[in-house]
Amino acid sequence: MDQIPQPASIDDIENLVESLYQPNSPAVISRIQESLQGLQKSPDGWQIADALLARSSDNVKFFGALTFVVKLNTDTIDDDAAKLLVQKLINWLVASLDNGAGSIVIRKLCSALVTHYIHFSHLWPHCIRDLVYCLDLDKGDVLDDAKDAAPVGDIFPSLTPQKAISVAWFAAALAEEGEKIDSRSSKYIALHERLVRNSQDVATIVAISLSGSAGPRVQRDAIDALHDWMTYGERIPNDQLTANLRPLLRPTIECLVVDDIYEAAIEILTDSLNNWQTFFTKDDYELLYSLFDSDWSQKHYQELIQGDFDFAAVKFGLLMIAFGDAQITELLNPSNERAQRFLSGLLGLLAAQGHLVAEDKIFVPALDFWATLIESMTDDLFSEPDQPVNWNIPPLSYLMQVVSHCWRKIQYPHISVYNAWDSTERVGFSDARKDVCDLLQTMYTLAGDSLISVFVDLTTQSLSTTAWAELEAAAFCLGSLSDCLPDNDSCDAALSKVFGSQLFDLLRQGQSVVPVRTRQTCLSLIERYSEYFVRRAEFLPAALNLLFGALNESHLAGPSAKSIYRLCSSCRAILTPEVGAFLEQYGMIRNSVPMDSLTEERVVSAIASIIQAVPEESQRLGAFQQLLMLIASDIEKAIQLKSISFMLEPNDPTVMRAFDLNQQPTQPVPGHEVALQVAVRALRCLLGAAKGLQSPSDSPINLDADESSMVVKSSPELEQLQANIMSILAQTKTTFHDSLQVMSDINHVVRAGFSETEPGPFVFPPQMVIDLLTSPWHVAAPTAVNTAQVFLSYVHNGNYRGQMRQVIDQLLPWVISYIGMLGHPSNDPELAQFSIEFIQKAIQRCPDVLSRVQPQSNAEYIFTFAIEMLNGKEPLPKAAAADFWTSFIMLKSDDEGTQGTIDGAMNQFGPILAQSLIHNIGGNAARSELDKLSDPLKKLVFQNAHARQWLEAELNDDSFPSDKVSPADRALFLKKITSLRGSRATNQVVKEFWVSCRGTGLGYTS
Amino acid sequence: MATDKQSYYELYRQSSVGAALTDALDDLIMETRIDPQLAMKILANFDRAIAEVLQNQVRARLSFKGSLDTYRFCDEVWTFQLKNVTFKMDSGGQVVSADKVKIVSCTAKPTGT
Repeated sequence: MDQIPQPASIDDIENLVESLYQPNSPAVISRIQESLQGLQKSPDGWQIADALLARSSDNVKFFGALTFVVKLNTDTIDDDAAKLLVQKLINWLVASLDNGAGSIVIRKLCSALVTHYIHFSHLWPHCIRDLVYCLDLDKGDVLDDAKDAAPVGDIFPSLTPQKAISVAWFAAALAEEGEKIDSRSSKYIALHERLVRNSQDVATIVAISLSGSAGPRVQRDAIDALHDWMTYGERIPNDQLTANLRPLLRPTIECLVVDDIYEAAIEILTDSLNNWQTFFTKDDYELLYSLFDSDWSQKHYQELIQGDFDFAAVKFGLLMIAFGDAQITELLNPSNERAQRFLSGLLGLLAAQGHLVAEDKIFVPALDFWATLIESMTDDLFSEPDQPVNWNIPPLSYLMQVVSHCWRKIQYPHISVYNAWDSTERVGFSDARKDVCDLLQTMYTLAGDSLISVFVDLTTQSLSTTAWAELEAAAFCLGSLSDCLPDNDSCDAALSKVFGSQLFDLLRQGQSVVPVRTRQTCLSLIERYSEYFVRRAEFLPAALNLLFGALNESHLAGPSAKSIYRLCSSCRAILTPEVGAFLEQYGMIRNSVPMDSLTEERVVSAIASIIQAVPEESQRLGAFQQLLMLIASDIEKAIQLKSISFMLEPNDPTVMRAFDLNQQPTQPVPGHEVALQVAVRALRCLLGAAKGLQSPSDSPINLDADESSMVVKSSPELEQLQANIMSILAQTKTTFHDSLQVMSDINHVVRAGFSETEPGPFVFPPQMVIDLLTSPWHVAAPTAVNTAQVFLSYVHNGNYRGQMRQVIDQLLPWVISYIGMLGHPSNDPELAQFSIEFIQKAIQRCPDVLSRVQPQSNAEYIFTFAIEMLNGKEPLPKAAAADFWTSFIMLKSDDEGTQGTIDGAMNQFGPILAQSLIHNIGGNAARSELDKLSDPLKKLVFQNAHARQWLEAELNDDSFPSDKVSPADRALFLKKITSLRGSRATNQVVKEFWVSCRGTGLGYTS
Repeated sequence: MATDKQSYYELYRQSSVGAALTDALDDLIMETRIDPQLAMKILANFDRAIAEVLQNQVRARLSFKGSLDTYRFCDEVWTFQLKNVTFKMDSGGQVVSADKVKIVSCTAKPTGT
C-alpha cells in the first residue's frame, strides 16, 4: 500500500476510517491518518462530519464528531452558521443516545459541543440549562426556547440515566477545557464569566445526581464532573463559583461509604484536601473527623495496616494523609484529643505489615507527612522558645515511635525475598531508606543528641543478639546523622559504645557470620564518623585493620577503600608515624589482592594524604618516592607490554591486575590492550596520589603574604621528584599517544597541582608544564589547551605570578598554531572555545602580548577567528567569543604603545564586531544566546565613541538579516541602547528587538 | 515566577533544558511547523512537568555545610547567602567547596491553597 487513493465517496471514507483500526504497519497507518486529516481540513469537512455521524459504526461516528472539533478549531464561521451547528450537534447527541452509540461517540460529541461553546459561548451562554432542556425534548432545534423553560432542577430528574450521564460528561469536559484557557487574557474574560454562571446549573445537576435516585453510574459521573469543576475553581479562583460548589462537598463525603462510588468520591476528596484546603469549611472538617471515627473507617484502616494494599485500601490511607496535611495546625495542638487520636492513626500507617515499596504502598506517603509535621513542630518550637517542651505527651511522644517504625521498616528482608524483587522495587526500597535519612536529619533539630543515643542503643542491642538486619538498619540510621553532629565531642561517649564494642571483631569474621550488606553499612559508618576517630585515636588501628582486611572481598572493597581514604585523610596528622607501614601494606596488597582501579586509586590517595602531613621534608619526600616507585613500576610494565605482539592469557597475573573485577577477560588479550589498561590504572593511582598530597582545605593561609614573599622554596630532592613524575607523564604520553583516556588522565594529573600554594611533588615549575603542554598531542588537543588556560589562572594567582609574561609568550604561539590549523571554528568547536578562552585570559593578564605576537598577521587572525565564532551556530564557542570581545573592549594598558595597538585593533575590528552583533541580535542568534551577546554590545556602547556610528551603519545595511523591522524601529533600537549606556536594561531591549526581527509571534515567552 | 494559582513557576525556563526547549520552539515557529499558541502550551506543560519531575522523580541528593551570612523572606521567596560552603554528593564523590553560595527558594505550591 504505497499510496492511499483519494476517497471518492462517504463509503470510501468510512472504509478508510475502519482501516485505521485494522492491524497495519505504522507507515500505512501514518498515510491513512494523513489522508483523513486532509479530508478533515478540506472545505468539505463539515459535510463529511455530518455524513459520518449518520453511519452505524462507532469508530466512524467518532471520527465524524472529531471532524467537527477540528473544523471548529480551524475554520471561521459566522454566528448564524454556529447557531445551526450547535443545534445539529445536539441533534446528533440525541440520536446517538437513542440508537445506543458507544461511550466514545457520546464523549466525543460532548467534546465537540464544548469546543463549540469555547468559540461561541455568547450564542448559548447557559449551556448546561440549554443542553438539559434539549435532551429532555429530544431535539436541538428548541435551543432558543430553553431560556423560558423550567429551572434545570425541575427538568434534570426526568432525564434518562444515559442522558444524565451525557450531561455530566459535557459538564466535566467544559470545566476541563475551560481550565486550559488563559483567564488573564482579555479575549477570554467573558467566556470565564459565562462558565462561572453555568456553575450554578452544574451544582444543581450534581446535587440531584448525588442523591442516588438515578443509580451509582450517574452518581460516579457526577462526582467526576464535580472534580473537574473543583479543579477549575482551584486554578481560577472565583467566589461565586466556590459558593456554588461548596454545598456539594458534604454529599460527596457521604458518598464515601457507598461501595460503588467510593473510588470517585475518595479521589475528589483527597485531591481537594491536597490542593484546595480552604474550600473545606469547619463543618466539612468536622464531618471528616466523624467519618474517621466511624466503624467504616476503622474497618478500612485495619485492613490497610494488616497488609491489604489493594487500590481501595491505599486510597483510604492517602485520604487520611491528605486530611492530616490539611489539619497540621490542629495535629500540633496537644490539647486537641480528637486530633491526637487521628495522629496516632497516621503513626500506625508507618507500621503497616509488608515489605517497604514492594508490598507496603502507604509508608512513603506517610513518611512524607511525618517529615512535614516534624518541620512544622520545629518551626513552632523555635518560634516560641520559652514554651515548655513535653516529650511525654503527643504529638512529641509519637516521634520516638516514628523513629522506631522507620527503623523496622527499612530493614532489609531475607536475601531470597530481596532477590525476588524487580529493579523498580529495589530502587524504591533504597529511595525510601534515603527518605528516612531525611526525616531523621529533620528530627535531629528537635531531638538533638538523644537521637544518636537511640541508634547507638539499637546498634549495640542488635550486635548482642546478632540480629544482622536490625544492626544494618541501626548503623544506616546512625550514619545518616553524622552530618548533623556539631564539631565537638558531645556524642563521642555514645559513639564509643559502638566503636568500642565487639563490632569490629564481628565484622572481621567474614561473610559466613555477618551478611555482606550489614558489613558494607558498618564499614561506611566508620567513614561517616571519621572525625570521631581523630579525637578517639585509640580506636583507629582496629578500624584501619578491619578496612584493609576488607579490601580482600570484592563486595566490600569499594566501601572499604572509601572509608580508608576518609579515615586517613581526616586522621593524617595522627597516622604519620605509621606511613612506612601503610606503604608496606600497599606494596603487599597491590600484587596479592585483586582490586578495581578506583579502589586502588583511593588507597593510594589515602596513603598520599598521610604523606602530605609528614612534617619533615626529607621524610615526606622519601615516603612519596617509595609510593611513586610502585606506580612507576606499573608504567614501565605498561610501556613494555605495549611493544609485545603476542596475546596474554586471561589468568596471567598482569592481565588480572590490569582489568577491573567485572571486566576480567575470558579469552586471551592482545598485549597492547593490557598495556593500555595498566597505564590507565597507573595514571589513576598517580592522580590519586596527587589529590592525596593536596593541602587540606582547612590549612592556615598567610593573609599578610605579599608578592615579594612569594618565593618558591624548593629542594634538590623535590626537583628530582618533580622531574621523575614529569618523565613518567612524558613517557606515557609518547607511548600511548593515541589514547584519549590516557591523555585526559595526564591532563588531570598536571592540573592537580594547580590548586596548591605550597611546593610539592605535583606543583611543577611553569617550564615543566609548558614543555609538556607544547609537546605534540595527537589526540585530546582541546583538553591540553583547556589545561593551559587553567594553568594561566594558576600562574596568575599563585607563587609564579612573576613568570606570567614568559608563560604566555611560550604558550600563546602554541595555541595560535592550533587555531591556525583549525581553519574554521566549526571544525572543532571545543578546541576553538578553549583556545579563545586561553587568549582572552592571556590578553587580560598581559595586554602587551598582542603587540608581541609574531607575525602580526597572527594577531589579526585571532580577531577574525573570534568574529567567526561569534557568527557561528555553536552555543559554547559563541559564548566564549562574546566573553572574549567583552574583555577586549574593556582592555586598557598604561603603556602608550600597547594602548595604541589595542585602539588600532578596535578601530579595525569594531565595525566587523558591530556587524556580527547586529546580525545576531537581528535574528540570527538563538534566544538563549541573547544575554551573552548583550555583554559585548553593552561594553561597546559604554566604552567606544564610534559605537553608535558602527551600529547604525550595520542596522541600515542591506545585509541586515530581517525585513520585519522598519528603519524607524531600528533607529529606535539604536536610540534605546545608546541612551541606556550599557546598563542592565539593555538586555531586555535586545530581546524585544530580536523578537521584532524574528517576527512570526516569537513574543510568546519572555 | 508564579503570578497566580493557575501558573507553575516559570523559573526553570532559564535552565539549560528550558532554554534549549525555547530555542527549539522558536525554530519550529520560524519554520511554521507550530504556532506560538502551541509553543505557549508546551512551555506551560514544561513548567508543570519539570516541577513535578524534580519533586517526584529526582532522587539524587547532596548535603552542604556552611555559615549563614544573610537571609531574607520576601514575597514568598526565601534567599540565603552562605559562606565557606562544602557540598557532599550522594554518590560519595569528592567534596566540592565554594566561598559564597546564594540559595533562592520558592514555596513548592502556590500560596492560598
